[in-house]
Amino acid sequence: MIGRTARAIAALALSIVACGAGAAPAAAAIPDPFMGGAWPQSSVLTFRWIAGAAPPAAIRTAINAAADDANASRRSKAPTFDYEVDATDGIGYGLSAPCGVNGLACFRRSVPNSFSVYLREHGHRFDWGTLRWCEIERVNGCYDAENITLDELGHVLGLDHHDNLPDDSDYGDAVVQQYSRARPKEFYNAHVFGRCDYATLQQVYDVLTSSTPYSTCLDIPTELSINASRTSVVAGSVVTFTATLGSNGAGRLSNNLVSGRTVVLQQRTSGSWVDVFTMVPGSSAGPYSVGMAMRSTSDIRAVFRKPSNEGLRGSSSAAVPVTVAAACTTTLCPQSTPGSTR
Amino acid sequence: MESTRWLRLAPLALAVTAGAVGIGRPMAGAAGDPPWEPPPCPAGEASGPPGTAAWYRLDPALDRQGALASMRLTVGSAGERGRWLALAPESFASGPVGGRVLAGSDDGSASYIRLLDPVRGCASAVADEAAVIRSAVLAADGRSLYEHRVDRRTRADLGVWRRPIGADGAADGAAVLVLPGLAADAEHGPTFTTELLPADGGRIVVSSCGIAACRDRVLDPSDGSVARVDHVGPALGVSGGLLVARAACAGDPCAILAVDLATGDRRTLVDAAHTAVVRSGSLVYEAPDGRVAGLVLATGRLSDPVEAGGAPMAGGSLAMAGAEAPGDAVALAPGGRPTYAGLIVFDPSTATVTPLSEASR
Repeated sequence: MIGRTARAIAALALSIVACGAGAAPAAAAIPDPFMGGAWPQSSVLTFRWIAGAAPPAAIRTAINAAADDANASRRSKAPTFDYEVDATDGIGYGLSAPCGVNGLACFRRSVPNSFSVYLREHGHRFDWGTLRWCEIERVNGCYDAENITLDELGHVLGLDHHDNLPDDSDYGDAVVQQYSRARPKEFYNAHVFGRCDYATLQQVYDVLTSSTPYSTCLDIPTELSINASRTSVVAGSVVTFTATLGSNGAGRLSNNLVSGRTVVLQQRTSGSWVDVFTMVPGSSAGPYSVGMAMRSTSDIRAVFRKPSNEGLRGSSSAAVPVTVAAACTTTLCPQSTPGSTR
Repeated sequence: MESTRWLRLAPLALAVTAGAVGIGRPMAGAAGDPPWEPPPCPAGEASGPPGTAAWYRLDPALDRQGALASMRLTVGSAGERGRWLALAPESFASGPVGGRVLAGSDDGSASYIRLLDPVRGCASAVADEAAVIRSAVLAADGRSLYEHRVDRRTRADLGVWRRPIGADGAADGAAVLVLPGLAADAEHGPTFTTELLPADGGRIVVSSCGIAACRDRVLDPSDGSVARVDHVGPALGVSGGLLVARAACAGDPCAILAVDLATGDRRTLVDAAHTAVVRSGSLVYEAPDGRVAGLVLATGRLSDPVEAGGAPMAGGSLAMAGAEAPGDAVALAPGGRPTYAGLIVFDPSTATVTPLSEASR
């Protein structure tokens, strides 16, 4: 477990991130807080059933499903979870759970050494009544063990409870919630990390690949650069333009190459920028390129428009002026000049 | 009459237990032992000799679906293997105080409390209530019992009640309300658990905990005054004018705080600890590495952590285990769960550990 100081630093770092995204509206979604202590990227956290506290079959199924849910919806290089009979870390069930006096489930983590998760037993009595797991008794008021386990696995990865809006209208943005919902309230059985859960995982552990969409719970600036294969050509020559898109966020999301997006090439005509081509993603992460036959001198730039389905801001590259000379029409043409395609 | 009603529960609870699977099977007591059916303690007779160390642990018995079927309470004295009783799913135990373990159980229509005396091998019935008694503790002098009740139908908090106890362990008068119940509020939400904890100076600490944070109240029965601290974790104890409590944490380990009851000022005593108790002015806790350390609250002196071979047991009305230790020492058990041979005593003033069977001599 990372110390309190480190936690405070991590919290401060995230609060800075939140402030950095201050251009967003006040009611914008905010990534889950991070409690500090990151596991190695893309590591595998194996678990077994804790001896003497093995869950019953229905709960084991729910826990394994939750591990699969976490793995499938982390959208980051956060660790994955895998059941292994010889694992040293464990998940348990029942009154031996060291959950303190409250809570439906709880976790322990000592990064990077160990973790454990416990679910209370079906039938546990609280002041408000009896805990029922939907996987054992599907009645109104039951809690979904798969959802609750996913919440706990989120904690194991380092997520703290999502900070909901006062009206809870953003409840669906996160599974890692302070107040879990019981059946049949909406999201009581959410089985994927919410966008504000995996937003933090992306900040802490990095996106899974350069083409993985950034969570819409984020608002990450991008940077776009462009190069031209030639900046002085004769009319009709083909110039290859290569743009590179990168993210400029905090933590693992700084200086990341961003691939698989739509980047367009624009040409300034009569003072206005006009789309001329959609640039083609390269075989490696980051570059987008296109060849364009130049007819007249003009400025060229690349543009990445803010996508509606992910949390990246739009950006434009600097303009590249390309000078175009008239084509040679006589038999006494000059030798090729620098910048010429001949 | 109360004893008779209690004893009628035992065969029913036993039948439930017999059908349960071994999830959470207790380590104490032999599996084949019959349940203990303690006879009533003789009226007017005091408990065992001073210094007699008793212990208990509660274990769930689950059915094949993983549902709580009953609770198994094992009680014993130091060095003794212990005897077990089957209790209803809504049950608790606390103490021991003066060699006696408080045990409560609710059969769905009434709640019953009795004092088990493993040394003398008997029990005294002390409560029979229509409301649900969620948990209870004996005051340090053993002459008062504090119980927390909820409404049987609505589960609304009915507050904390005090019940006088005679020297023989029997009820000695009617219970009176000493602390009103708390309704849910926006910050803490519905109350999940209410834990009672005897504290220094005869005070009682009541932690009403929501899913994430508690409202801790310190009651001084001598003058009826109540001090309240919100947005903390469950209380660990009181020392002088300080409430010692866990922070409001999402998980474990968790920081331990000291809150000045007069000013509300807070400071962190320990950055991260697992189980912890406050006893006689010292905080004893299990560090994240499993070692045990003691912190003298008045001076701030921290002992060197030691490999104690056990962890402290939580001490409140919802504790799943407990054991008495002599003097200012704190009883430890492997994993915080006592067995007859595994009890250890930690002396926070010297940071030394001793088997309880030796310390009790």
